[in-house]
Amino acid sequence: MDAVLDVLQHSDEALAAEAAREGSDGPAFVALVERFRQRVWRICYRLLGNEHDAHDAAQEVFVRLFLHRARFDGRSKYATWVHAIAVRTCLGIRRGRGRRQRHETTAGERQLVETPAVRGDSEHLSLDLMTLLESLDEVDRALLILKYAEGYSYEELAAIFDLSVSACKMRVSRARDKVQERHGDAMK
Amino acid sequence: MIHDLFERLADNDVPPVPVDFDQHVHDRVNHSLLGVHMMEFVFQVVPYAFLHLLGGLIGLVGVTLSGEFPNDRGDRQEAPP
Repeated sequence: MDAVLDVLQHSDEALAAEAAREGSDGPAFVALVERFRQRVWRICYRLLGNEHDAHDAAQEVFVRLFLHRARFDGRSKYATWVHAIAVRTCLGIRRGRGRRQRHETTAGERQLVETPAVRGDSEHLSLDLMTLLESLDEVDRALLILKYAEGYSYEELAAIFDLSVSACKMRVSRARDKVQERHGDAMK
Repeated sequence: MIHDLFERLADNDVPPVPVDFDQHVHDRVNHSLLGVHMMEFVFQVVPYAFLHLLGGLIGLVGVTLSGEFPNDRGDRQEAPP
């Protein structure tokens, strides 16, 4: 019980240093999984859009965290490092999806975009927005989702995506403009 | 209008983390660890052991063929007759 309390009182960075010394997934790594489970799951689900892929990706994130646990050098917050790995893992999975599947999805989505005025409820509007987001660059899409769906600040996004804050704001702004433009076209 | 749409992104619920998530992570970490250890064994331990045994094997073959033990000291000619 004392060991559990001790682990709970440690900062993320202290736990990460302890986990780096462990040969297997010991108490420190288990505590880190428990702390970041929810956050990593949310990122994976938001970026991948379904439970099956999110489950797979979130597990992959923690495996990568474990295998690379000695590489955390403390230059950023541990939480930022974890979130960056989660985002990179999800972007990698999305890029790795087959061209055929993407083509089929795009064809189906195009049909949805062509008739947005018919539906008025929020669910359909959200669906249309997700469809429009699919047409963006992967990083821009992830930036918009994390900014608006998960409420990350520009500073956090800049650290996660390894961008300057101003570059991050510019990318979000341009991505928003693109979505707005395409939404306008679809409404015509 | 579009601003409202972006705000609605947050309204989409995220399902809870699966109950067996920790167990799956544990299994996958152990599986990866096993893979890492196997790679280390095949690409580091086996070549290291092979190189060290190879010296002994070469020496054994040399001694067998020549009938003489190698003399590392180089003091053979200084030895008394």
